[in-house]
Amino acid sequence: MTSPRRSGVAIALSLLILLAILVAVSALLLSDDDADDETAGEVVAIGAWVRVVPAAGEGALTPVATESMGEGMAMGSGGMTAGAFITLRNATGADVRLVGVSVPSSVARAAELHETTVDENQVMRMRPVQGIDIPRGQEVQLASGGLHIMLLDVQPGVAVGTTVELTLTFADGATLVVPADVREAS
Amino acid sequence: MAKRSFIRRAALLVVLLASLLAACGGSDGPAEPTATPLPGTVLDPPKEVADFTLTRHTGQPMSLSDLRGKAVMLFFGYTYCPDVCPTTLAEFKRVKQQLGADADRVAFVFVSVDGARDTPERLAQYVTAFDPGFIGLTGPEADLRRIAQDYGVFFQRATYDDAQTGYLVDHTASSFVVDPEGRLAIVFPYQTDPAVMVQRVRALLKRG
Repeated sequence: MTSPRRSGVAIALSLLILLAILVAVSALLLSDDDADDETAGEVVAIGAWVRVVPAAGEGALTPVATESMGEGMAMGSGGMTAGAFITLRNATGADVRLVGVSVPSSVARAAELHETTVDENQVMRMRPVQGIDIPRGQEVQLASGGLHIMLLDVQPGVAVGTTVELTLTFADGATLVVPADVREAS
Repeated sequence: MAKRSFIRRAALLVVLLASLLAACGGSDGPAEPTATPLPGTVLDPPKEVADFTLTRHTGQPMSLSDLRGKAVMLFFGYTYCPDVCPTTLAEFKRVKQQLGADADRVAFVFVSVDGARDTPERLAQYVTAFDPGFIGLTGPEADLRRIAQDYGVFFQRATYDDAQTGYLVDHTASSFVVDPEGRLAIVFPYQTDPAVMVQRVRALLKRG
């Protein structure tokens, strides 16, 4: 006759073993699932969108002293910066590196790869990044608060509800044109 | 497709079972998440902060003391900031919506840390895009720096040779709540849940 304490340990042990087996089996099943996705053989862009500060309402813009304007700064409904966000899934079977992004001049003056970090003192920093590695079979999210695409001097025609084209360039010279929905920052 | 769907379901079942086992496993399972306190630091007593006067996005001067009697939610940022600043202003917008009638007793203020580029006109375009009632304030760099220091806000220009951005501004991304008596009462870390901010601001309004 085992003590209740010992049988408790035995039950806990067998549960643990069962758990280990289940985890192992599920890992196998899941990796099989991933393998299926990789047959596409390309970098897949998911859910691309551009977050714009929409043009303010009519009454919002009031005449202000022009002497306070910046040096030759173009004003109007455009001229703002915008973040572009996207999830990239690497199904090429090899590691890839995103090295650049561009947009037509009708969309923005320039586009850059950036990273936002917020440190333990709550200081936010944004840095241009030279490239973004996307290991084989993995996904990298370009999302708010982390890696993202920065569009400079967004043009007035870029309105909520329209679609713009982002051209992604990879280290091997390959490019990927991705349509991105323009949405409001909210 | 049928096979994959079966695999997904099987995997889901396994995950569910595993988490059930983990939950039953006591000390063998992962530690139970402990109830975390609400994010945000309530200053008790509130900190005295100096009044300041800057240029409002409408072009007129405005002082913090003009907002006496209201709780003031403050965020320091700049209009060229494409990520953290719009995220926070969008959160402010949600806070205002969730406050309902209480929103009349709260002012939402965006203080520039980039006086050189953030003209009142540019600020007007920026802040009112989120909500027509939001207030943008800007002014000479020296004034902005003095105000920021009072709130423990750091900001610094960062330039990069390879960037076409001109310059970026590193800055503290916390939000601040000034109570109706003009004292700093709450500091929220970046990306605090708007519902939490609403709860805390409501408590502040009740106190007053």
